[in-house]
Amino acid sequence: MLTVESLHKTFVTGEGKVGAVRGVSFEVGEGTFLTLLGPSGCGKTTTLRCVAGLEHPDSGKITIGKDVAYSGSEGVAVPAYRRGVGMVFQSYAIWPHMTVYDNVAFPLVHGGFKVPKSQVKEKVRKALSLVGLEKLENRPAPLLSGGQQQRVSLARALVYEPRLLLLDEPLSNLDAKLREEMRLELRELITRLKISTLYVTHDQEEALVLSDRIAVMSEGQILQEGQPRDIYLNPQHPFVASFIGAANFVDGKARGARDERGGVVVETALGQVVGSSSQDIKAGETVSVIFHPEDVLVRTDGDARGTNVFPGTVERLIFVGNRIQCRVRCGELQINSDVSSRVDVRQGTKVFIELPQENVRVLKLK
Amino acid sequence: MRARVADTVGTFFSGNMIAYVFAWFICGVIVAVTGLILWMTFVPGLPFDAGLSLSNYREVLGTSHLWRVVLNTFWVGSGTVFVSIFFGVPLGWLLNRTDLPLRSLFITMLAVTVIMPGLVKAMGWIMLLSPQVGIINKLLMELFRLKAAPFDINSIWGIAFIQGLMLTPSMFFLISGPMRSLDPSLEEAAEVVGANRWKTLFWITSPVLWPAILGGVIYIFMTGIAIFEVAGILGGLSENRVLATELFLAVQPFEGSLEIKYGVAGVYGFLIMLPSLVGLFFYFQSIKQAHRYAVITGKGYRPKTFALGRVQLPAMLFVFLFLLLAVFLPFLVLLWASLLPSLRMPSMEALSLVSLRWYEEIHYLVGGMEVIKNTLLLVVTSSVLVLFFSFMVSWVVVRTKLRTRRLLDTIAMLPHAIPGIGFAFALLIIGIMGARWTPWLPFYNTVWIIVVGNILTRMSYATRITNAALLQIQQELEDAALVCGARKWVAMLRVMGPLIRPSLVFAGLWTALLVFREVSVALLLGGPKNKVLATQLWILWRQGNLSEAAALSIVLILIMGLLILLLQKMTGSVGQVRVTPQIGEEKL
Repeated sequence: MLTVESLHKTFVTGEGKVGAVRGVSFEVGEGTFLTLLGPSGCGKTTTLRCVAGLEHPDSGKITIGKDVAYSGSEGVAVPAYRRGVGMVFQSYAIWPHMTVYDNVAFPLVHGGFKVPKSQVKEKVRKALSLVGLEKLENRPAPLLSGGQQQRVSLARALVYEPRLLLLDEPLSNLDAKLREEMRLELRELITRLKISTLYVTHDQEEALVLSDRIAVMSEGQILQEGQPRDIYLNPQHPFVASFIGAANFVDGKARGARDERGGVVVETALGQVVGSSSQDIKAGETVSVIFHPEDVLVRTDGDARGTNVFPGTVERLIFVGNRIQCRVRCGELQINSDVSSRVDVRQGTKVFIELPQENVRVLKLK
Repeated sequence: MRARVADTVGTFFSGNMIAYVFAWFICGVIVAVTGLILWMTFVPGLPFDAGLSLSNYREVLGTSHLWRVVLNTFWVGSGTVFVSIFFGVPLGWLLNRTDLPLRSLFITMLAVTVIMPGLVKAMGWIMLLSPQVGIINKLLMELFRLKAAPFDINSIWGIAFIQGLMLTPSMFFLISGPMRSLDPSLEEAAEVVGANRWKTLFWITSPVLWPAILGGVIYIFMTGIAIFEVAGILGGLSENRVLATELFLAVQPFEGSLEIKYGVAGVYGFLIMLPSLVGLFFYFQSIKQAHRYAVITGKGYRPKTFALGRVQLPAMLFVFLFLLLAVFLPFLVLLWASLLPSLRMPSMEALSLVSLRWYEEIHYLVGGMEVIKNTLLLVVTSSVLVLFFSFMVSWVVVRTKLRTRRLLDTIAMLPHAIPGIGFAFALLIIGIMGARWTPWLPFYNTVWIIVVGNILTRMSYATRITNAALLQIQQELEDAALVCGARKWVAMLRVMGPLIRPSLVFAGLWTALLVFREVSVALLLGGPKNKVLATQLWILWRQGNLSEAAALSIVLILIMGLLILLLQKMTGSVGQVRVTPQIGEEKL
């Protein structure tokens, strides 16, 4: 549905040129939900605005459906009003001088999706009922709550049945509880409508819950693209690992050949760690060993024999209800671990931590 | 290079090119005219013989007369600054930072004093304080059996007094911003360490405000020495010569000497602008360091208000004193004079003479349909064009990422630093040259030359309003319309238009008001064929028809009052920050 090929965009600011987007390529399949995930300033919103036609890229190619919307080499640049996409803005951009009805009817009356007058009312009603606002159509826009504005914005983007929906951090202005509600509602609505969607967010949980695919961005580039599960469990880049979850990082040096089970042996401050890797790692290379807190097993008995078992002392415990966040000091390192609330550990207890080899990722330091 | 090409393509692409072209057009004119002002002072045979020399400077600087004029001008400027600080700074503090009752009403009234122009104010005060006819002078002489009049308004101090009253609101509004945005924690910190309220005011609040007050002083001084009309009717054309009146005399022969000396006038103009150029230098310096002064205020920010306590009554009286001197007294005396055949002391006999005779003859007083037509043309075209160009400049400055946008913004501020009389003089030269080389072009001695003068001088203020208006409206509101398939002009018409209309109406009407009451530029560029109401008032007074002039000034004040009412009705507030409805702003 949407193809973006080696997109580049540079901004000129007071401090000089800033490469906001540096060679971004991705594809959103028909009816697929793709999320651009990254910290603020990583170029995700700029990419989205380039797709909408609100920013003019320096080079690259954007294809929406079968139409080339932008191509630097062919000199094609379709203006925003002819791209036929729907967009929800971070600030919602509800026009304050109009009512809810006028806002939603705008694309059909004044925009590029004109329909006969008789159909306007029906289409607006239908769009408003999709988002559950059919009763508020005559309310002036400034009198809406944040969540209602969000829905109006969505209805306005959906009323002309666009082929592609663009969402720019639509949930970031809502409070935590409402955000979780809207997240599910949005996912359901989009699944029901089977509309291709490009979503931008800095919230990794939001991205994991909503998306079919996630592309993690940093400094204007896509570092890794894949299914949420894959991104979470098998990060290919230290940044992806750190951004997607509170992972443990231990730096070390790879020690020669893989062991009999295909694991990579790494010499770290913790000791000798064996992990798995999809990269081609050579002996002597500096690498990062990465594992999630929930994969760290904490034992109060036993000994330090066996692969990936290390002694330590419980330094801090935080009880969060369904689990305990436990920080274990192993020499100079601190390892974060999530353990079940039922495990009986106390501060200062000597423990052993065990890292299951298949859950430990070894990545080259870049 | 690649990026530059891409920038240009992007400009066309986003449809900002139109704004860019018009913005650079008006800023080009501002730069060209400013450059011309400087160049002219070196050309002896203006306007037709080229060639640079210092002979003009020699002619002007060689005379002992000049030093008296410069000294007079200096005292007028300093006196103006003194009076405007004397009233403006306490008013700024009282109305912004204390619990004085009726503060917002008083602030509105200060803004509304604009309906009484300096020329009218001066006329009123002459009727009160002139040694020959001044009502207050006569009263005091009778009361205390004095032989001579105690006050003489026809003096350097009289000029300074009236200009000071006239510019006090400017001083007030210049320091109101800093007064309001002053971080209250600075003051609280002093209180916490044991300073009492008055000590805090003296040691903390005042020093922090010094830069703002100093900026105000420079602005008032350079405005004060460039005002022509007040000095012009207070003896500036005879004994109390100042630079502004000298300039006028050098180019307007029917008032003074028979010989027109453009080069000499240019030197006077340059001397008037000298302090402005110094001020301009400081302005550019401060722009360079603007980021250092960026004030970030959070939500719900409120400056601390100072409880006046027992000083409240004297404070109220102080505010009333200013309004009395600046507005009510001159207005009342003008009203009185306009009802009488000639100015008299109030008495039973005088009361019996009261009639509306002058108002019945108002069509004669305004100088005929031609003057009314000219005035309407001037006010309407000036404000429409100022609005148009300001909007274009602001669009580029606020809404585009073009490299030259900062420069444009700075150029748009240039007229703020250069006296209107300077622009008027440069335009006069251009007009004369144009009359010689392009006589078919209606410019010299038409109302259009005054229109251009007013556009140039009003750009700075109008761009401040349009900048603020555009900044208030999120880019995404317009983007949303484009994504919905609306073309750029539809988005402008249906979304941007309704949202910025209140600010634009305000900027337009306010400009109309200021153009309507403007005298200096209109007089300098004036001739027999392009008289407007303001110049007509000047002419009536100069001809010695005091009562007629009083009647006409009352009419002018009423017209401006109506404009202010219209402004209030259409935009809701005068002298206050205008807020357009906006939602979703909490994310900022």
